[in-house]
Amino acid sequence: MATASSQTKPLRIALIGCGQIADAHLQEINKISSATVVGVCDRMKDLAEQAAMRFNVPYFCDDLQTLLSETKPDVVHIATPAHTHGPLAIELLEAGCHVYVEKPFTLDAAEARTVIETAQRVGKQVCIGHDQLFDPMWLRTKKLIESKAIGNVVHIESVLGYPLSGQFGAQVTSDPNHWVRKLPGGLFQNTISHPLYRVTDLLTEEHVEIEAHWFSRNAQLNFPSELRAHLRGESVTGSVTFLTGIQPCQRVTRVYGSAGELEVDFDSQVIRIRRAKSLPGAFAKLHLPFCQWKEATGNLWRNMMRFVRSDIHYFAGMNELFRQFYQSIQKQTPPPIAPEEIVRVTQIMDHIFASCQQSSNAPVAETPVLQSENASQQNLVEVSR
Amino acid sequence: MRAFVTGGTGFLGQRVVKQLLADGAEVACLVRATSNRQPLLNRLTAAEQKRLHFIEARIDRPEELIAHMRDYPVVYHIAAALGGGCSSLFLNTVVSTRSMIEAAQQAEATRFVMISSFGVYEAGEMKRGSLLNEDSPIDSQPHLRDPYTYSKIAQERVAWEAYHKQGLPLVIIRPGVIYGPGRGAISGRIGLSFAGRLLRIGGSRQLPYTYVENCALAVAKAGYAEGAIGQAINVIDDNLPTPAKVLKTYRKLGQRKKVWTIPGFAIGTLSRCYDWYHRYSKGQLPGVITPYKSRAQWKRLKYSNAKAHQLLEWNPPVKTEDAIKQSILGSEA
Repeated sequence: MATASSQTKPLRIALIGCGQIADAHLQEINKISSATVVGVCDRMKDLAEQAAMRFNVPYFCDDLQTLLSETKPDVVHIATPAHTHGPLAIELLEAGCHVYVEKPFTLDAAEARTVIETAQRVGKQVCIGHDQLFDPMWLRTKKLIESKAIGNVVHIESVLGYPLSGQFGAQVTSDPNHWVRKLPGGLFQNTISHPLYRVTDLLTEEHVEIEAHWFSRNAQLNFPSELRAHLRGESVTGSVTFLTGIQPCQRVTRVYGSAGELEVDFDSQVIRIRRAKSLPGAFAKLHLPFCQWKEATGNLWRNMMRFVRSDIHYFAGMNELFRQFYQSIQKQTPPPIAPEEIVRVTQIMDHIFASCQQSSNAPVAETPVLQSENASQQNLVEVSR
Repeated sequence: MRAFVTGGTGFLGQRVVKQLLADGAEVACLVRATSNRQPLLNRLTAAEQKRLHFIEARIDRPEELIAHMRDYPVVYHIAAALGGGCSSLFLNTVVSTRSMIEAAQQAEATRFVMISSFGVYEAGEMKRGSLLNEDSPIDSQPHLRDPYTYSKIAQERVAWEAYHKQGLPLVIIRPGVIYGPGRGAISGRIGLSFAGRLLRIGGSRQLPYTYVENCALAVAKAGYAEGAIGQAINVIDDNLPTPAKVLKTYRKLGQRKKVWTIPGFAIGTLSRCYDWYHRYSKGQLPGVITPYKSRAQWKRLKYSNAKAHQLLEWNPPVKTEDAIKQSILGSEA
């Protein structure tokens, strides 16, 4: 729907699916001067209304076609349940919109390819919500790795602690018919994207062997709640650990290199580096704590300065990703996340779930798994994550 | 009486169910498969348990509720979300109420008692020291309030619409802060929690509190009191406590709280400063305090429970002093 002449004006953004993550989208889009939110939509009109009222959005409705005809958006953000992402993305691309899709991109790689092909055919951009790749901590991590601060990357270990007792986790746990429980990869399909893409961003080799398994830590849960995945490239390996029942719930990635180790903690917004010891024997026992103290002081100072500059935001990565995506639309440059990478990560997820099912000899869902819903039949969204 | 209760395993719901059964009612309690029913059952005698029936169905599916409501035509809709994001609160409070109302209409329920909140009023815009009662206006800018209050105002809007347009036999109960054993007696009306301390806002204004047992009695009565249909009724106790009195009772019982006191007159300026910083820093600190919210939450007002006394013939059985002690000690009357 965007025309060449409209590209210099702020992009018109619409959002569908007014669940929990929609708040973050609206909050971050409102900070970007090159974009303006023109409408929100949810199948449950009450949810669309509350989002519109709280974020000063001029239009809300419960029907996708009405949203498109009334607001004529350039870009639509899809923040609906995972099984609706693919069909909605295709429908929106065909309607002439650029599309931002929350993670997971689609239910499987085949569907992801269809979305990408549609975007290429209609000449529109697609982006996926791999926002932690644009978090200040991850951007700094990438710079450190490029500068060989830890030598060559050997192994990446990514951890996600997930609170089943949290707001969304409790809903999923208590309702066997929750849409998350019916995804082919269950709870993990909706959640492991973040720790996984932090591994795949550094594990870029073409051939990756995958071995994974899932299980339930709590005997009272009748669905798998823990996942361990191992990825083996030609020279780099990786692992994804999805944990429940731990405190604090962590978003941590450790990168092991040939000359040191780096840990990035997204919640504390700190990076710790441990290099190979350079002093002999007992001196090393003094040198290491000294280095850690010096590093902790540096991290404290850095975060204090960021606080003073009002630069500590939970969704900073999302904000940066939105900016780069909008810029790529306005300047007609490649999108911040390559389409091939979107398909690759989706494909790796497919393999992880297949490996889990094979190793446990059981599907994740006790009820039939969801198929992608036809967008026009579904019309729109239940409630998002 | 045959009563259909949602939220019957919750903090207030348990006591309402107990009260109804003690009054001789047959009660059907809508529960999730994963709901913990034991605390409710522990309150009941063997004879009462025989008159209690659990129904496993989804509150957001009216078709699963209609037949049960036909059997139990007095509906007590107590279930609601207390926390979480705004969308979650709307989903579990507003959307579920729409479903409940649809089922109640089709089942031709004889009464629909809904638990709202005392927070729905536009208290912030009232004159300092004036009387807040059921005739006071409802907040006209609910989206500027906290998500819980916003969801309760939206829930009421849905219910009143059904009352006016479709003749829903609606009774709305607006309880003050419900406190009791297991929840203590500290609430956001006294102040804010910060870094393990309580930031007490002022100390001598009345707190619109209701002890859970007292509130449960009022709610139960709303299901059969004559002349209650079409009415909203505030439920707050007699002899309301002040923040200073609540904290003094904690101290007396050996449970000293770490408290920093912010004088009531300073909260306006502090709220404006916080709100300015929230906007200046583009949300580096969450926008939990605004002048609008502060005025609604902490303004010095007088409160009336005359309507509950008259219409429901309700007299709070537990005195405020005892109620605070029981809440702190975790014991019940």
